[in-house]
Amino acid sequence: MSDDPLLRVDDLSVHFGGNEGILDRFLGDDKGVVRAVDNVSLDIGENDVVALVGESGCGKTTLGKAMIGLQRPTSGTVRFRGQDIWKSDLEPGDIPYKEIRKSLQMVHQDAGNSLDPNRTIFKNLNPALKKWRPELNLVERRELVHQMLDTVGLTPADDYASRYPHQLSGGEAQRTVIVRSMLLEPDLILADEAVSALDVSLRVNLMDLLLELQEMFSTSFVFISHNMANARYLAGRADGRIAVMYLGRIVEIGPADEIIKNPQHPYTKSLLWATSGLSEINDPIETPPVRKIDIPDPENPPSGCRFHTRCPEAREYCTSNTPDLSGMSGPSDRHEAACFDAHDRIDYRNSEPITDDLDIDVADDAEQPAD
Amino acid sequence: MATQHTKQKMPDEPTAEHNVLEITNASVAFAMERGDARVLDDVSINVRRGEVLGVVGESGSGKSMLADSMLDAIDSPGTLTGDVVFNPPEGGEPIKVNDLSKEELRRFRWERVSMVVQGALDSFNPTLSIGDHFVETLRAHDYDIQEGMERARQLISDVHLEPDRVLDAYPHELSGGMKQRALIALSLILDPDVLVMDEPTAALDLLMQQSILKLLSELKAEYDLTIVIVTHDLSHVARISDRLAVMYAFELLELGPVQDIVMDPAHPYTRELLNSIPDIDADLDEMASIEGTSPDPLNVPKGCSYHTRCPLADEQCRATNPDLIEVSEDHGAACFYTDEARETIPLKKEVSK
Repeated sequence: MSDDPLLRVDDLSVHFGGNEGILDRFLGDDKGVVRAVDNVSLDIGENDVVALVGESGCGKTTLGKAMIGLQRPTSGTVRFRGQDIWKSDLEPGDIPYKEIRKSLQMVHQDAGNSLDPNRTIFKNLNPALKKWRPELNLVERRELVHQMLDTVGLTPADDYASRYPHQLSGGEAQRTVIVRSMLLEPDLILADEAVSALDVSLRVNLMDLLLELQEMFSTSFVFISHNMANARYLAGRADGRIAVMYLGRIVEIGPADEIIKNPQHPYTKSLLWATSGLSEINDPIETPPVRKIDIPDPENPPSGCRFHTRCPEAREYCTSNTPDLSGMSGPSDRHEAACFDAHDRIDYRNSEPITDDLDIDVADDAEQPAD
Repeated sequence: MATQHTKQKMPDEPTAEHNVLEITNASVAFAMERGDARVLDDVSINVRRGEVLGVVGESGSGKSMLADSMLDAIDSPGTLTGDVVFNPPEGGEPIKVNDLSKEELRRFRWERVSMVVQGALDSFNPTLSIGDHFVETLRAHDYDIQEGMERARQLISDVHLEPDRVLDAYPHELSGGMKQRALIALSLILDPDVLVMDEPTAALDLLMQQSILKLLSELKAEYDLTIVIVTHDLSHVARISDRLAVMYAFELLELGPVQDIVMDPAHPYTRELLNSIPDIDADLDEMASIEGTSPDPLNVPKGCSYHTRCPLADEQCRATNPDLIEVSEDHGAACFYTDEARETIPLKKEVSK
């Protein structure tokens, strides 16, 4: 058990839709299946921080939910301390499913809507404690809630505990939801775009709070974000990793600084192109480093490397072969990328570069489902 | 709300050739049960011909109201007071936008000043094809349809879409980024002089956002446009803007060339805002949020609206609302203590020249 990481995601896939009717099953029609997550492997250690980055529809939320047991995978496994979280017939010594669920918590994107508007903050936070900490009486539970509200800066705590959700600002509601997830002392928290709904001037504060709590309670965090700057802040300060997703796969993963300063995958490079730093205000925006600016239809993803339809470095070899994540030679042995070019594969070098009309990108990308 | 009898001293003196839009003492109020909500408070700003003006503010800062005022498009029961004057590029009489009749205003919009609103993805009628939207707009303004559609095809290719496919497509057949680009093309169909965009990229993916900004700078050059972009994300628009206007609590706090605003802003709010932006290049240990929250429109603090969060605030700030005063050439800030602000609130980011 000691060798097992906190959470091990192994060859995980989550597919939605398709083949749902009986007729479909007979016809074996594979159309309409969205491969939201496709063969992803990832380890989360104790006290680890990982930021999952990608555009909408890349499968980052689905992967996150599958990791904490909120979404049953189509194939592959998620192991919590070595045990498959979907294992049904438990043996002695196994961790019951309920315990696992308690250890894996989530902070949702829209904090305001994840609180019951008809209950005070205390009554919003109380049920989880009552269920999971039955040894505490009401007074003790109240005390614990107040303590946590204090910790996240909602002071005076007794005032906040008696408020209703509509009496909180966006930032305060977000803190309350964080308290709710922390009350159960989980081992891992999935924070889905936890700061993107807040005003710019408040974001750093909330991110600092998350990082403080992470350190204080030695909880592992998976942050989901579409914003490279936020991902870098969260993962960078906690000495964590950034994982970049594209159409259901992790295309690059590594220490935050490595990903930002030394990106290897062309897709990561394009995300960084799209993130202007303030030091660049005098430079005109360069031409996008992609051949097409629209994302392909996830129902019908490209063959081979999924980025080959947009990748400026794509060659014939990429259209039929799928690159796997593998380690980069460089300063960090934790830096991996799934790209033939980055690894300088000989078969890739020997094939013809793909050229097509730049930027005329209507053909295949209509009807994208919303995230 | 402090009443001001003195006209704000703008850093840029109004001259008709330079300013395509002149907004003077514009205020917007909504009558509410709890009292009057002033959601734009005495803002004066000139939009110069051919510039990209970035209007930056947090949610509830009044930035959308400023954009709406430029076309006198405030939803009732809101009321706009003050002057909005449009100077036609071909010369001739200035048009006072907020005195136009309903019919004149209908023509003014689209032909003079065109707008891409927030949530633009829902701006299309789902039962009409994209082409129908172009035809309908041309017809409503008595333009020649055939000639107009030629232009439509050109515009659609300019935004990197295929005219044949897109004109026949219905809105649901296009992705978010494609719809947004089609909408930008539509907004330019009647050859407006000014394009006002309210959070034009907020709902889109990163790559698409940056691509659209890139596209806008190309369109601006090609069609001789003046562009006003309203956004909450300063670092996002800084690269394509010539000047930035910083709004807070329904007022204009600072206005100046983008380099000045980003590299050496004079207002404490702008300085703290810059320090709070999680920037991709900045040192990780050097970012900090601004304490407190923006004020309620029904209850804006007396005096300078930022005094409740400002580290420099004193008696004067609590009593009197400062005017926008010139701090350097073409750069104004509404603060009594701009020198002190620059001294006591160091900018934490290293911004290269």
